[in-house]
Amino acid sequence: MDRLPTVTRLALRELWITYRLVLIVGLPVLAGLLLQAVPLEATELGPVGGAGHWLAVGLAVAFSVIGAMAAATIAAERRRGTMGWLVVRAVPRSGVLIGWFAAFGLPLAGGLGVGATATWFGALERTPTIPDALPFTVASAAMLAVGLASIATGLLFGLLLRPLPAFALTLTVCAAFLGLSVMGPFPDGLPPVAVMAVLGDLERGTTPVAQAVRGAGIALAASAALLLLASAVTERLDL
Amino acid sequence: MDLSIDVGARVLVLAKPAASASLLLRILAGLARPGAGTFRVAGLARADDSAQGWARRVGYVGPQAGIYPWMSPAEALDLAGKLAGLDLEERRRRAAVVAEQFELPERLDAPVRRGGPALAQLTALACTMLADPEVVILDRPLLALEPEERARLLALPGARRTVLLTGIAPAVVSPFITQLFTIRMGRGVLAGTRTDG
Repeated sequence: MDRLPTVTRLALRELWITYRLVLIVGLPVLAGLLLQAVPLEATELGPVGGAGHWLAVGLAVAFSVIGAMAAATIAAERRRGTMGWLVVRAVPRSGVLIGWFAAFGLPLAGGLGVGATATWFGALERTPTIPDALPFTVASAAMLAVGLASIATGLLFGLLLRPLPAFALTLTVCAAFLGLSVMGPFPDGLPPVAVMAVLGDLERGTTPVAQAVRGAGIALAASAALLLLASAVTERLDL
Repeated sequence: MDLSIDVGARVLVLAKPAASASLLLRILAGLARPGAGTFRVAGLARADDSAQGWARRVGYVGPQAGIYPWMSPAEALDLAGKLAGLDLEERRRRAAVVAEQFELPERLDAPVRRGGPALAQLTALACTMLADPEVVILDRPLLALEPEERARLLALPGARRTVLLTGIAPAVVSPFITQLFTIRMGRGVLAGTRTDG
């Protein structure tokens, strides 16, 4: 794992040169700005609840696309031999996978931070009093775990499929899980991304902070399980 | 299939179908998993649980360069040196040597995409040789080059260096090939052809 920083830097540079890094950072930021484009009356929620709801909707789209990008990226890496180039230089297969996971996750965290901050300031403009920031902050931060789960899902499908099918399948699966958790008929969201429902309806729960922390834990556990599965798959793959 | 190759052997692998030879070399490089069989090259045993040690001593160049098109040969060589655990000074020294050997100096700083597949393949071979591997596995290497140039560049230095290659006409590499390994119907036969290297 001493090569992990080198692999991550290489992956980040590839994402930067191919403009995908702009999307990974920009999509969560755009999700954070969605509130500005939506009239408050569009939901029956208050300023903070509405802010959380529209941020969750935007992030559901952003995470689905970013997860799909991760799938197409790792599938392309495998097919064009760049993954093999690293493996024959004693980089563990799982190390390549973790490097790409970090390369997607780090900028995603930055974009999420900016997007959530933009949403919060948008919510403040709509209320005369300063609301309690803690539930929104914790629920927004917990969304990072959902983003990581989307990336891990993409990496797993990307190892198994060609770039285009991997992109389409990840987009479909993530959009279904995340979309149904925010806007579907499941008030508590779909596990393992139930934290989407917490952010999507902050005013409903009595203990949103505890629910968000628990949801983040579940989503992180799901990410770890998906990464372990992807690592097991990559050990058996022909590169 | 069982395979045992001595130190310093230069082996041309021929197979029917040709993809079998490529698969064998990919197994030896650690890119594909063998179903069964034992593989021993230059005293090294290919076993999945020792893949890391194996990868440090074995170099592989395939038909795909595996280098990002935006990378320059200098960047690719530096990265290969870093991954081989070389310090900065040693990386620079070795990079200069292999760049000279594979005629890269004038194209060192331009992205490999500008030089086309030939530059990418030369860079891939240079990156492999930078780590000075004991065993070099060449699967259809330098396809974009003329046969004479391929043969000249593939005559890799090092009397104790073991080389396995496939995807190249026997006549082209006959001056430096010492053995043939033929695969037919899933069975391999090693035959010595020359001893003068």
